[in-house]
Amino acid sequence: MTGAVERLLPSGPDTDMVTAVKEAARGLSRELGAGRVASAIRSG
Amino acid sequence: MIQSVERAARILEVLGSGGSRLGVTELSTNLGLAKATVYGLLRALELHGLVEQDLETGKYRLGPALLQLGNAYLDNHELRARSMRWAESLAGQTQEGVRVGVLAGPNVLVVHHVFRPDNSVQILEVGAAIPWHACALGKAIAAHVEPDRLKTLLQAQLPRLTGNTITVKRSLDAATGDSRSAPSA
Repeated sequence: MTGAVERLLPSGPDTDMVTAVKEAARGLSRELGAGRVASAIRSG
Repeated sequence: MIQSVERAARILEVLGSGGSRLGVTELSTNLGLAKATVYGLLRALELHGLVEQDLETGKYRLGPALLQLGNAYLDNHELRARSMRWAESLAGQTQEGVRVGVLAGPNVLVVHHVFRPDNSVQILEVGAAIPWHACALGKAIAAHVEPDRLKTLLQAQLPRLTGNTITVKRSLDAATGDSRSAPSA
């Protein structure tokens, strides 16, 4: 996420914002194959 | 390495690094090449639309073919393609701008940018190259590269862009370490 530090982090990390970023990153990672590779290693 | 290709690439880099147009003499001096060599390379680049000459001043600037190549780079970029809907969703959820970037040399190259959804005037940052050490995105990416790559990044020159830019290598190493240890996706 991008923006003025004073607006994004007025009093440190925002839990909801961190969660939203993590969920987006997790979803994107899965689409890029992260989960599938891990599954293949476990089942291989 | 093919010398002429390498020299042509350097011409494009020099023309792309500043805002002003440059003449043959200026390029020759800048690159340490003979004027005839620079002129020949410029003619070839011009033929392919990679540079263009200003008819009034005779000086050269980057050409329109580079915009087409840049768009082709973006159109074929898998991370950009796959991140679009996630970035859009994240921007909507948080009401903040979102950038997606990749590490390219010592810079973070922004490959996708969603504006903060508040109808304010904003500048599209796709194509921007930001020194990795001068942005949170760069530090987050650097935190997860291989140790040798991180070492190379830390050993390079780290220019100060603002009063808040961390340029002390020990502090940067610590900052990337914090990102590594934080829970992540």
